[in-house]
Amino acid sequence: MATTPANDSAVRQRILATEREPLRVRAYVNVALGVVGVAFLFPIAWMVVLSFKSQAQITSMPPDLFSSFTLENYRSVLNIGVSYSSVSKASLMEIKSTEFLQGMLNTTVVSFFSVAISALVGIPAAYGLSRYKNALKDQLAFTFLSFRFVPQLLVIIPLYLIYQKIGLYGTYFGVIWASSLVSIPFVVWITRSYMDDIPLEIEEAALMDGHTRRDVFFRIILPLAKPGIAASIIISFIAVWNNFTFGFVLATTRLQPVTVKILSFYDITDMNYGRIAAAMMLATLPMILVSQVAAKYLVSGMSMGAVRK
Amino acid sequence: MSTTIALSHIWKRFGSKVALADVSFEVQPGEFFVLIGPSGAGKTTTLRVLAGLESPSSGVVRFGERVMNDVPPQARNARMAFENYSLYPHLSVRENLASPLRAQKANKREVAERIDRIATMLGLETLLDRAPRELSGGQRQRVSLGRALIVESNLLLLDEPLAHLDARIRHELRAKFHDIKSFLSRGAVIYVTHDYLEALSLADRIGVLVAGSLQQIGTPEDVYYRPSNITVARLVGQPAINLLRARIVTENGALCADVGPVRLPLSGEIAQALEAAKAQTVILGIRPQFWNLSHSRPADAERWVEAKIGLYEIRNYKGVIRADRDNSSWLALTDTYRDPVEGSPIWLQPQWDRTLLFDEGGMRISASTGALGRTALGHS
Repeated sequence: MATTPANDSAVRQRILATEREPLRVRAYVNVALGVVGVAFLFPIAWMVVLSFKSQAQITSMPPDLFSSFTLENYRSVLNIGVSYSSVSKASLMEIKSTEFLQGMLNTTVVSFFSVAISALVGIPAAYGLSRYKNALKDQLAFTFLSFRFVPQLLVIIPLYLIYQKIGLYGTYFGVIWASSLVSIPFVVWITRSYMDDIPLEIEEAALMDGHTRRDVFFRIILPLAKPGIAASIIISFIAVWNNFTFGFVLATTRLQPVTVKILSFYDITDMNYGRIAAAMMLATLPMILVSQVAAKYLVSGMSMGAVRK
Repeated sequence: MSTTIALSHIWKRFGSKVALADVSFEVQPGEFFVLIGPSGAGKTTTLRVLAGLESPSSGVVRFGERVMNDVPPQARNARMAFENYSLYPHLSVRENLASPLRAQKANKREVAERIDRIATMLGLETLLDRAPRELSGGQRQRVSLGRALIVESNLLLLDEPLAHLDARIRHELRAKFHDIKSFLSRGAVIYVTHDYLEALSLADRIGVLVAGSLQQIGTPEDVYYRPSNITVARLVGQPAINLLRARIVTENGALCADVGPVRLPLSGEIAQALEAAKAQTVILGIRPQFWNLSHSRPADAERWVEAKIGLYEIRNYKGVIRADRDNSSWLALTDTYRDPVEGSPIWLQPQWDRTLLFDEGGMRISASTGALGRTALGHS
């Protein structure tokens, strides 16, 4: 494209303008992102800071946030190396701590088994829904997803009554089973979507090689759907760990998850914000660890370069 | 291991669409059978029916004496090389090749031996530990082939193996296929392509499939020199065959073909065939390389068609002349040592001994006997 002397400077001006513009826009975007990031991270940062602060520091005005940090809240929650002013308080706190740790155990058990059952059942279901498609199957798949739409409060009363009748109230199995209502939709939907992306021709090639359908599932489908399976397991694990309703209604004190046990730190008599924050930190820490460790599975790029597209 | 593969009256419908209509053919063990046809003809569908990946709507698939209609693909002992290669993306080349052996629970030594042999034959030795996404198209193609060849089988199905490769690699691999042919002694091979040159060079026999029905089954020679109808004649040959509608008239006691602008006197075998067939209107099929050409007015000009050179171009190292006369155009092949000038006159005469005759319905009239070639599959 020839540039005559007449429009040379005009072209140059236009180039300069476009070079300037993206930078300004970029700056705006970054600022906006920063604001949003702060808005999201602030509650967590607040919680982290509070957990290392004594009650006195928190309740002062303005809150004394940066001067000194203490571990007394954690010690109190875990009942390690604390001393209280009165014996009754000490025994009360000991009970709360034991309950809290019991809750952690319960949550771990329920989450683990709930996700395990969901995976065992959901992954083959996802395969069936992915490969043998018809209108009925699509309805079925959507039904699975709809479990996520239903507010848990809506189902909890009938579920409570049914559980009482069939004797599942106050059992590990009952809570696990109800919690899989939360995890199965994730497993089925995410895995099915990943399996949809696996070309049918690769399975056909495996059949032509002489592999049985069982071989095809375990040697071809599962490895290729691994990122989807891992992602769905992580997401459903977090969802079940977070669950409050089922543990609150369907479990007896012995079996309640940590989400419920944290409530015991909310007391009319003793609202120690720092201690509550510490309890929350301990309750969420496993989830954070799990998602960090498993994150690399989420980003394992699987290239489909083997099939010419 | 020597089983004849047979399809009998196979129909395949997808909803209201008919993909295969009454397809029947047999392939002997050790035979290299090529199925050729335009895209959408049903060639891949035929392979899939043979492989067991599709069930026919009606008809019987037999391997030897055994009816295979209800036998799943993994139990058929047939191997397939897919058009899109279909390699396992999460496995190395070595493991891709080993896949059929793993299905048969072969021991480590045998696996290693066979992989070695196939890799050497196909030039894959240095690629064994790579992943499919690190390979070029030609390399993936060879892995796909290797996987299909590594275990002997009743039936080897090759779906357009050379379709998506550039010309040079296609040439190299096509040559490799001749080596592979000798390697495959016992099973039957069915090779699908839309490229008639591949078919003519590799096939023991060719089946021409158009719009789901078989037009002709025969040797490459049969299909090229004795096509059963116009569709086959058009398909096999580049540039496509010239088709001239001609009225057969008698002039001065001799049989002539009235092709519109001119009447060409006929003699010899072709005249006899036309007399025997008592045909009034025929379609003459003249392949571009079977014209006599003259750039100057010949002595017996009444036996030639005069035309003007409308276009001259070089295709595939051959010169192609488009000769125009009134509303008709014909293509002729010529040597390129003398560049014809567009606009100059040219005289064409069909080489009558190479000219094909078709009746108005498009079926070939056999030149030697005059019998209308109405045996549908053109066994001549």
